[in-house]
Amino acid sequence: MLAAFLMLLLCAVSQASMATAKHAPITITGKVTDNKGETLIGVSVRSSAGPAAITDAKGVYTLRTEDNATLTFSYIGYASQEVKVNGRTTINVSLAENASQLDDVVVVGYGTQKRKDVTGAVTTIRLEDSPKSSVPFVNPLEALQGTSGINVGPSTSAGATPNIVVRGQNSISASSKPLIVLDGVIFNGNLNDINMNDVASYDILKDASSAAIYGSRSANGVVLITTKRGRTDKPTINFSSYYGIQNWTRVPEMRKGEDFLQWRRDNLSIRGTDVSDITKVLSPLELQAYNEGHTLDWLDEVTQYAPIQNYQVSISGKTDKLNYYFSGGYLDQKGVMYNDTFKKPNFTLKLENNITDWLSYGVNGYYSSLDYSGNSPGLYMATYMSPYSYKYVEGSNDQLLQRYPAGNTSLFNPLWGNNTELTRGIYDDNLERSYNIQGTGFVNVKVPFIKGLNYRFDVTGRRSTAELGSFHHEGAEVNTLVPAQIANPTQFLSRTSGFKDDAISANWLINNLLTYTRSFGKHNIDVLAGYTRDNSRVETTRLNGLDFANAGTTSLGYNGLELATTKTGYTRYTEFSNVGYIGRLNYNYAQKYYATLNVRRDGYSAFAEDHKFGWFPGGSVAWALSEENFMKSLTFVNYLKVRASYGKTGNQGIDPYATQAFVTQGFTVFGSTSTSYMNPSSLANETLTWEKTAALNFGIDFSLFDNRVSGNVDVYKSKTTDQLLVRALPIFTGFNSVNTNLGEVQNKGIEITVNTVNIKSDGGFRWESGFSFWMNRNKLVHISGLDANGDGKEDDDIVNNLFIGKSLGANYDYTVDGIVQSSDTEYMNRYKTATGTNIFAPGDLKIRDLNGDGVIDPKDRSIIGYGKENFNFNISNTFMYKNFQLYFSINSIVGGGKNNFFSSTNLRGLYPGATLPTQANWLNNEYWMPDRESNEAPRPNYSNSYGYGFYQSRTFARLQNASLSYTFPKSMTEKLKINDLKVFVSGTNLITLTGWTGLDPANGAQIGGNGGSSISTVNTSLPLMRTVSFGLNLGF
Amino acid sequence: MKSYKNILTIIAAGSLLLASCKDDKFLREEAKDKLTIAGAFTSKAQFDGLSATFYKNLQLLYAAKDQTHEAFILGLGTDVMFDPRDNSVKFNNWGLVNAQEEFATDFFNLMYDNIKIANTLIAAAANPNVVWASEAEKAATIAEGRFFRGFAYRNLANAYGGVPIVSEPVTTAKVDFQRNTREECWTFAKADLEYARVNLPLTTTVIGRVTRAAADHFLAEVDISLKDYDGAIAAATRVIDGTDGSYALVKARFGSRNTSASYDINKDYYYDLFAMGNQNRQTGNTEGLLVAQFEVTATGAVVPGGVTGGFTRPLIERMMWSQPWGLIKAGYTGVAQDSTGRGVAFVRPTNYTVYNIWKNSGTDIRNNETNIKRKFYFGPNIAASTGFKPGQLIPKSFLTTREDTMSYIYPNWAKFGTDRHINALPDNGYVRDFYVARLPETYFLRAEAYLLKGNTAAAATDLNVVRDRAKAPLITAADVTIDYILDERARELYGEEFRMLTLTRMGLLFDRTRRFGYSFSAASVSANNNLMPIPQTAIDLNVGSKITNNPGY
Repeated sequence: MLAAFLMLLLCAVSQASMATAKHAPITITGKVTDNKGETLIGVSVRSSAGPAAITDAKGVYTLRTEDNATLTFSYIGYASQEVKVNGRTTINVSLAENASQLDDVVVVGYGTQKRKDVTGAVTTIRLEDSPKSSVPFVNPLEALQGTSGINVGPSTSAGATPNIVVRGQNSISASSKPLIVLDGVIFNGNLNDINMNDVASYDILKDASSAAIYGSRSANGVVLITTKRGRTDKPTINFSSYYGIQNWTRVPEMRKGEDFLQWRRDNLSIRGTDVSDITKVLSPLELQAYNEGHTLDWLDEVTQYAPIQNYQVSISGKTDKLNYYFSGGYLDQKGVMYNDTFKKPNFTLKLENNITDWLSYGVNGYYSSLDYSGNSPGLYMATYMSPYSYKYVEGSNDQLLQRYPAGNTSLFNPLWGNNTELTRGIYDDNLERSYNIQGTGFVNVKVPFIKGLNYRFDVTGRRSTAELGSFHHEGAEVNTLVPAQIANPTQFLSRTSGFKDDAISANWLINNLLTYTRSFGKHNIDVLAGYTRDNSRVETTRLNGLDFANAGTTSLGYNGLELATTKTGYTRYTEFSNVGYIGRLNYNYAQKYYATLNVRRDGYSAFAEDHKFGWFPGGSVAWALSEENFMKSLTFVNYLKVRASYGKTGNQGIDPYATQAFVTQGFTVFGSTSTSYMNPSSLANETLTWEKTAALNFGIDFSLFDNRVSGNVDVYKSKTTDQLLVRALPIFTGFNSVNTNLGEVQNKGIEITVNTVNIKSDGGFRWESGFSFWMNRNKLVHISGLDANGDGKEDDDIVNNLFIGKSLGANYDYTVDGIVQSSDTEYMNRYKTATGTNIFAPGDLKIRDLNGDGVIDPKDRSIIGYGKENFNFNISNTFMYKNFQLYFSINSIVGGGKNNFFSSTNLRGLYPGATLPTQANWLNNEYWMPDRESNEAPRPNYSNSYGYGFYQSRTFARLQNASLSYTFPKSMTEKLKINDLKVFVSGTNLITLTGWTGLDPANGAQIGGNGGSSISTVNTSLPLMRTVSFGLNLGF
Repeated sequence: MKSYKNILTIIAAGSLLLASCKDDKFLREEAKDKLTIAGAFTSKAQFDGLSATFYKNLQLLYAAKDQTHEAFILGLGTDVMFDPRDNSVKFNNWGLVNAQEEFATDFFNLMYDNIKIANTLIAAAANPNVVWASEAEKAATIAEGRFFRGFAYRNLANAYGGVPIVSEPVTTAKVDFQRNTREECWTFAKADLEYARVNLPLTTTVIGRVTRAAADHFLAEVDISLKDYDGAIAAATRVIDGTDGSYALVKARFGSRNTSASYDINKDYYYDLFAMGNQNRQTGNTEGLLVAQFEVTATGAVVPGGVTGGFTRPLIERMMWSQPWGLIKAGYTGVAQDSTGRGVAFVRPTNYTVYNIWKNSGTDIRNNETNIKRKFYFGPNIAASTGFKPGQLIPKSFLTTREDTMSYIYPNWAKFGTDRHINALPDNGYVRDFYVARLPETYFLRAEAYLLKGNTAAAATDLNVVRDRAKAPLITAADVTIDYILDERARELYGEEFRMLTLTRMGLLFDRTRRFGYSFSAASVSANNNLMPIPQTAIDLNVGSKITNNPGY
């Protein structure tokens, strides 16, 4: 494989050097007009030999280049045109207005189609040369934000991969990740491996018919990413870079000064503690800080200056024989949380060589390394901490962190962590790196005997190495409140521990594709048949070391684990394979009537024996109405097409071995002899198979008024059956849960996208807008079908929060009518304990007796809202004037409605008792006190014994992206021997308007992570970052 | 043209290559890094690994969670013990014992885990491909599974009444279980224990593994529940008379603390029964019928197995003992000393346990200062201004606040802690094995059977065997009542016997708690508490069939 790769590389390079033979340079001039003869200003004229120019205010350009070159004229809103020079010195060109990108090429899975031939719901996002190309996206998915039908979650840490959902939640518990395809090959790596700067375009297959070509993996949609290729004869060297500053949006305002003291006093006094003087209110260490006037804003202390810098160099070009693109990039990002870093160098190499007119081959190679090393503090404890506290131990010259900054051992320094595996601090070592290399080699053969028949064979190999390491030193065990421990940390050597974990993932994939494309008169056909196979495995080796007392030191950290007194370890091996048979037939008559049929038969190794294969068929039809004669009289209609499609897709979103029953092992003891035990820990499922989604889609594509208004509307309905469900079982079975195919979920929705050219002035001013709106409704149709209570309807599964006939993500809880005031005597007297005392006191939640039985109990719960959104919309605007371009987009997710959509639990923001109230801090929000009755939040010592969730709407609107760029005029850049020079300032997540009391409404993160719970695993949410960056693109 | 041929050759070769590797074979899944059920139980060693899980679960009864969790089964909130820290917590307030109550839920779930393991074992042992050394080995292996299944159903039926009987491994997602009656559960348990008592070995070299005597011990109790008193007497007699192995009440000093050191010389054999390292047969103890094993590691008090959530501390001393070391006003520094241990007073004996049962106890060694520490002395820092000196007895009058007697000072049973911690670590250095069944209880069971049969003389004789060993005054047939047997159980087995199960089995939890429990428990307990609630999660998830909870839950 490697040898073949090198051979191809050598061939390619020799071809490239042959291609650079020189011809005589000449100077060409000319004028560019539109089809009505109006001059066009700012048209880009690019020679295949390299040089480029822009038309001036009179529509005239001048360009010096080779006499055999080809000029490409491009202008937004107009179809690009290529003209051979053939020695001419004057070339005038008339550009036709672009028929709303209908001739653009769309990647549809194992092939491409022209936009106007597409019959499914496929959205294309072009990044290369678009205003979005100067927005500082880090992860490739971030650029999909604002596309109808696609919800992209926020990225909250350096190098994070956002969550993404296409057309609603189909699966109750299996994966909802869409399939990613990179340059035609199913991509199994981390999305961060892909260099954002290499991305040219995205195509998203949303309807089941289009996606069915990817069968078993496509139920959650397919995102096809295409990287850049060479575009000019002359090698183009491009350098781009940006430097940005990131900060945290929506910083919670914690209490300080007198507000904090008031909070503390209220908390103590309502519990009956004497708060008559300050010494009774503050702990000794807090009191010392108070007397010294020493206060800290912990949200400041756990954050850092967070720059992001990105550099990218690419060399690309093409000749008749060769297309090449080579890039190297480096991204260095710091997150806003202290010590959160991400570094990524990467390289991309793409070569395609046409040996003859019937044979071509090529290679695509990608390399990246990702480094996330270093522990960062969580926000959880930072939002708890008293402002009267110390970050460092007194007298340590700010060298040694104070582990318990307020003198209270239940409130640890967020930088120190909590000495558990999950909340390590900055005194603990952390290693988290991966190295990834992927290469594809392909051969294309135009079979010579049969016109239109083409064979493609490609092989992809990928290997990633992930290194994880952690070490907990003795110093991190010291209680810094005890000087004797600071003086002698070696006493804790027996409590030190560490691990080193190496995981190797290797996968390979082959595609065999046969295509046949022919036109017979007005009949156009395009047939695809293929076979694909892939295999992935992950092998992990881990060594743990515990107790370094015998070693006497931990200075070697995770590189010296052999010094540990107790050493344990394990090896792991997981593997899965897929097989797919692919078939597709595209037919159209005169580009008026379209039909597509496709089918895939797919096998996945992790399903049960004899249940591994599934059929995934799809079909679609379309009618280009505007091409009919009877439509020609409607001159305002430039293009109009109606589409319908139906298809079945699958979800294999379970891990390997999910069908098998395993035993877990552990240790017990007999006498003093340690013995391992084995326990049957999981239940086998011998029939586990695909989760299936069948979906119907209707769509309209239109382009009106000289193509100034274009867009599409899609409506869809899908039904997902045989849900891959982890089903909780009654303990009588001895098991907690089992993987099953059970239940049905339906989704339906509407997506509207409209693009307009609002202003197109002769003075060179142009204003374009994009609007998209999408709405999805989700419904659980059934789960097990069981009706134990005999009411004739299937029972809800309350334990698992599943309600028949309702949307997933229900908030099932009590209805609360504000806070019990001291005047609410009638309410308080109504509910009594068995011994006759009142259950409710002033300052409690006023819970409604929904079923009116005089008792407040779980029967009074009902669905009071949903976490799912009501609808989404996105508005983008681009303004162009001469060399300036301004772009911004506004993104919004709207909740509410009679079903109270998009509301989530927010204990930390709305419930004052969610912290450790007598020790911790809280938001500067109102709460109930006997002397200041509130209807907003309960009393600070309210115990929330009903476990109410404190819900809040997450509706928001955000200025998501904006960029302002300036392209320097040729007259200036030519003197510097530069072809292109563009500078820009841009930003993401700039302004968010919302009523949500927390970090970010998009993911519903509460202040300090996910709030309320003390389980460290759920407290991992970090603030959303706002980025403002400055950058430039330089082309030679 | 030559190139065409090459290309075609490549395509043909590629296709052949693929065709040669069949899809089915390619997609076959084989777990390479872990054992599946199918491959797990083919040898005796693997069956031993499976049955070892029963013993891990036994450990979980004593070291699963902190606070009062492990006191539930020992009788928390009943006549014998309560949580002294807060009058309003569950089991002080029986109104909070509902179907969501965690302790009752955890015990229930743990028993069904045992049932699952037992069913897996019994079914796998029937596999003809397993190679056994002898039929007896096979029968003994199955007997171990059936013992623990019978034990689980005895526990469940005692505490919860009738529960679903699951007698086969569950291999599908079954959700339509139905409750059997309590009698059916006991009958099922009886069959398992009968098999076990015949097929288990009399002795074992693997310390802690169950032997025949334990099977007969629990069989005796199940027979009582089924009103088969003769069966119960027969079963208990097999344990007592040596048929099931040579068991006898300890009447002489033995084991780790049988030394001439000044701090040991005046201890007694009853104390030796609970000293660290003294619970197993192999260390000279002839009373332990089933003993949950715990072991200290080299680094101190990490208990292998029996630990979830990383709890690495033996809990019993912490839970049961008072914390005199924290009574600063009595001259203590707030740091636990070896002689006082590191109790934190989660569970306190009731006045019934502290005083009532010891009235007229005479020379009963179980109540001497060695075995129940009732005297506490002023610590080294006692201020001279108080008029007390270090080492002087703390008088009752010195204890004035609620905390003084609920938390800092109350009698400490020697069986829950030690004055000689491992590595002198009071917070970590107490690790001993726990008696799940001990011979005196067998006598009590036989006494109960005799009483219920009307033979009070024989019952008195059995009770006197235990009392005689304790050097307590002997009783007459006229003294024997169920109440008396329960009192004697408290004297001998406080903090050992599963008091919760004894009281629910007899249907006396309500009555006894009302009469003898902590005042708040006595006030809140109601008749329905004679059975524990079936966990709500089990009811809710059993969507195929409605399970009705016990009345009142």
